[in-house]
Amino acid sequence: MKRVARRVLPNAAAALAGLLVGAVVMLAGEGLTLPAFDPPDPDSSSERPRASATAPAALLAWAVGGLPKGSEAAIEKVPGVLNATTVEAGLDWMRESRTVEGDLLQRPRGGRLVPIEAALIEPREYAQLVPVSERQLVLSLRRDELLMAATEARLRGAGGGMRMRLGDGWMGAAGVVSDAAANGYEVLMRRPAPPSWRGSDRFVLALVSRCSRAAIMERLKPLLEPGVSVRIRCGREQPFLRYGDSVLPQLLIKEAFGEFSARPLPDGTIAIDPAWRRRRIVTAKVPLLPDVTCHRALLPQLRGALGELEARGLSHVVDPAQYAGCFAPRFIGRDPDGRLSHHSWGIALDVNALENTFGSKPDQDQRLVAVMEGWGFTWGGGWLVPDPMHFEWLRWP
Amino acid sequence: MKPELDCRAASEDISSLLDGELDRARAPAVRTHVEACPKCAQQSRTLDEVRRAVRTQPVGEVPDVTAAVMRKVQGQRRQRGPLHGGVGGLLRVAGVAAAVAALLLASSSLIGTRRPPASARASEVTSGVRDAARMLDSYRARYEIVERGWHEAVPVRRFDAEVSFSAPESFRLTIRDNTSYPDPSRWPSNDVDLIVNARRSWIREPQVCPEASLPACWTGATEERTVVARRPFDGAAGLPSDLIVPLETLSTSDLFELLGREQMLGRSALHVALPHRQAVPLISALQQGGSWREFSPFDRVDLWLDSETLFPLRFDVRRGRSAAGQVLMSARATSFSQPQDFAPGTFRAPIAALQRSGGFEQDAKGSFDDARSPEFTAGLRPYRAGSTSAGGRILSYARGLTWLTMAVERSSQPPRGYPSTAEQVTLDGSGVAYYEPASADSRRRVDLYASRTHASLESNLPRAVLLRVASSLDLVGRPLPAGIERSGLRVTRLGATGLRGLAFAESPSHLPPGYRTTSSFLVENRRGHRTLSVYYRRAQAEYDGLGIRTTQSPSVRFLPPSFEDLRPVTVDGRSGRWSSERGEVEWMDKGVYRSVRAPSLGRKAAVQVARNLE
Repeated sequence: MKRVARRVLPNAAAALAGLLVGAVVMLAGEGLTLPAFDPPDPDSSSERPRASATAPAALLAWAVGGLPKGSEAAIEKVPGVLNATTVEAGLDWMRESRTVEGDLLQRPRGGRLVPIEAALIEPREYAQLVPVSERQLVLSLRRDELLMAATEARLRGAGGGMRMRLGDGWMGAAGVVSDAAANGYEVLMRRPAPPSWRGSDRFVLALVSRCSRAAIMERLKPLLEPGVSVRIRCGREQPFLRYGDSVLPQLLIKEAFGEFSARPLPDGTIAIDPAWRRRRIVTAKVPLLPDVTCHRALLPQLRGALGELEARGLSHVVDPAQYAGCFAPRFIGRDPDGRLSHHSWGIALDVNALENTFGSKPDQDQRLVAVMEGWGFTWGGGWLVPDPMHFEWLRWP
Repeated sequence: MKPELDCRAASEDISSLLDGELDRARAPAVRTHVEACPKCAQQSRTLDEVRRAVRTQPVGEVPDVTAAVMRKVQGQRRQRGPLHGGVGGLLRVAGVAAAVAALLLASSSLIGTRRPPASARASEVTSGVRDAARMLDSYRARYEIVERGWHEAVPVRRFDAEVSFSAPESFRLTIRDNTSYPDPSRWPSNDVDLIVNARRSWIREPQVCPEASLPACWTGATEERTVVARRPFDGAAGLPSDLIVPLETLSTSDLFELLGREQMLGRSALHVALPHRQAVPLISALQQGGSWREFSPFDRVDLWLDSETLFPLRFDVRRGRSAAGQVLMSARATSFSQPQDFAPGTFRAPIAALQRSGGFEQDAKGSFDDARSPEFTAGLRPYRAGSTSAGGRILSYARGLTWLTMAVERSSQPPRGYPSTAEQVTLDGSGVAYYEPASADSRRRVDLYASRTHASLESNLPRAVLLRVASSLDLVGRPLPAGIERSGLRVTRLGATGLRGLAFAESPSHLPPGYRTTSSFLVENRRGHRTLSVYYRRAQAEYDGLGIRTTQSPSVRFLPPSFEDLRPVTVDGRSGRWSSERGEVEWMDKGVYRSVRAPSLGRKAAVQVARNLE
């Protein structure tokens, strides 16, 4: 099915007026969660390219809250690491966008802004990780410019040459790169972080001739606070090698469920465009749980998953009294300097919360996990910091 | 004397040559070929005779084949169903089309072969469509549309569509969804309304949500949006023009196949086949809003043009390249006419709550007596003129469905950013300009950077004609700096000589039909690392915005890591990989990185180009 490009008329999200929305109070924490599926054996598939001196692989290292400074240099000392680069990921807010001719594309009303997930890069180093035909755009990126992912260009309704007014002023789009080159981020900008950013998540990407996880962990350990875990990915373990890589990038969440404008509030919640909420967020009955308030697009597969549990006589694996919500417009961990929780789109829900609190050892019935995963949800129980109550949309069933 | 052009290349240019619309730089070569080639000389004479006949006869004196056809249609309608052919209004277009139809017959006999080359005949269809579009003042048609495979729970959808047009830029498209949905209250009815006039455009469509979660995700809401203060032909690539006359779809004759004349819906029709990637303007004409199934660039499109009027009678999109593929979408005309008048309010565009301004202020009295206006406007008439909110000036010209806009702004600085990949062309007496074929978002475009002035022309005229318009400007376009420095990179636009001077550079010995080198760039960093990108594009349109691009670098030592699903391929015995997401094949060739990116051509074609590098 095709959403037809709107060349003639403005984007629907451009100008909907609205009111503040009360946040749904829920248990926080899914944002600190990172997926921790055991990485598959890099050599288990004959299709997967193997890292070698002539065909290196990409490696990702990240930790909750960001890797400490010095991580890049430490990783570069590990044998088999050809070079490494630090990337900082964070959230910027778009006030306005204009075409290359200067015509207004979008200006949210009511003091709201459009959340834009950005990655800050060192172009010369990062260019080694993108397709050669897109390297020039990365290499020639200037400080007052950004590069848009292809999907982002579709969301914005414009491409190279358009301008976005972000937190620190106007930025011109120097070009459009593939989603792969943007690593799933909406835009790429040069480091350092703009002054308006009060937080970012630092991670390291590296080119490696072999995936020396243990050696890298050994090198990073002295730099880390006690108890901080590091996630290392190598090759094509995930579609994108990025911070918090077990959930989908915000870019793809927007593409599937829509983009909203919102007003960030000091308490860590956001006031989403009420028109967006009114049209997409619904309260509905589903099996096994009390009435849920979710994105209406999520309901079929949520009903499908819960219905399967019920049909298989597994109703007892879900305690309705411990359901902790779905739609919750807020930042991860209610940290207004952080990234947005995917609860803001109403596409994640917390189940059996009292027995599966954030950071605790998972106590979910694995049959519940298997059924939910079968219906396209990812489970937070295997994340770097486990969030075992958390199930989030990952794909259509 | 041996002709320097082959007949295939010359064929399409003959029409432009006779119209005086051929690029002056190319005209001598075409004339030389015609003089030396008996076949093309005969084609030229025939075409000239027919065109002169059409152009010199008053409309009413054009041999009126329509009445006879209509009698036949009326008779067949009683037998076969409701195909309501128009009456008097068909005449003018019918004249041109009759000439084209006659020409098809004439050329096949005069050239002296039983079946003349399809390309030659296709070129005549192209030129006929151009003439038909130019002469069309009004149009109204109704279509029945059947679409298959939109959603697994709704295997077939049915629509009625009505399109109205009043030259030069009043359009109305109404689509009504007649589908029997499993539960009509829960599924979005794909009713779409689009109205465009000189001042505003307005669309109303159902709010769309992810298809995989339909019908649960549908809110029942519709959206309405308005653009006020429209620039002339703003967003013209999104207008349903090709539904009226497939001017853009058939803009180049080397990418469609003329299969012959057939009876279709009771009328004589010219049957044309082409890949969906070439038919984007036609298919998307019905998809201005709402939700529709997607097609592959390689899906086959069969198009039947009324041989009287060249209006589309029917078009089918089939799965895959084969004529036997499943029909995924079919649109059939049930009536068409050229009304003298439309009901009041037909093109009145409502003002929706959601609106944006195009930033155009039209002159109360359009002034085209401007030193910056083109002397040659290809027979198009002054239409709208005015100013933009940024202080620029826009002049527009139109005739029928054919249009031209020129935006002029004061600018002493070359454009910022990475150099445009536009083709640098030399104009006749007006210096240098930069040409881009039509894309999904815009029509053909020429930019001139003169002293303190930047002029930008956009049009659905053919490339050669648009360049001639650009040549007639009282401006001398200056070449952009051949090299620029950006963030430690030197980016240099290369000519053919510069390209030959690069030992590592290889060029394809064969390209798909219509493709040619349009621009080349060498990027060097401070350490002397070099990467060469060469663009190959067709003259009239590249709807993916890219065409074909090769990237080569002796400084890249290995294929970069990728998280994508990659398919192994072999290029001349060397292992490579294919990225379907990027439409790119990459491989290492004796220490040189090479890639061919061709997103609309597919893996096989890209690999074929790769194997032809030498």
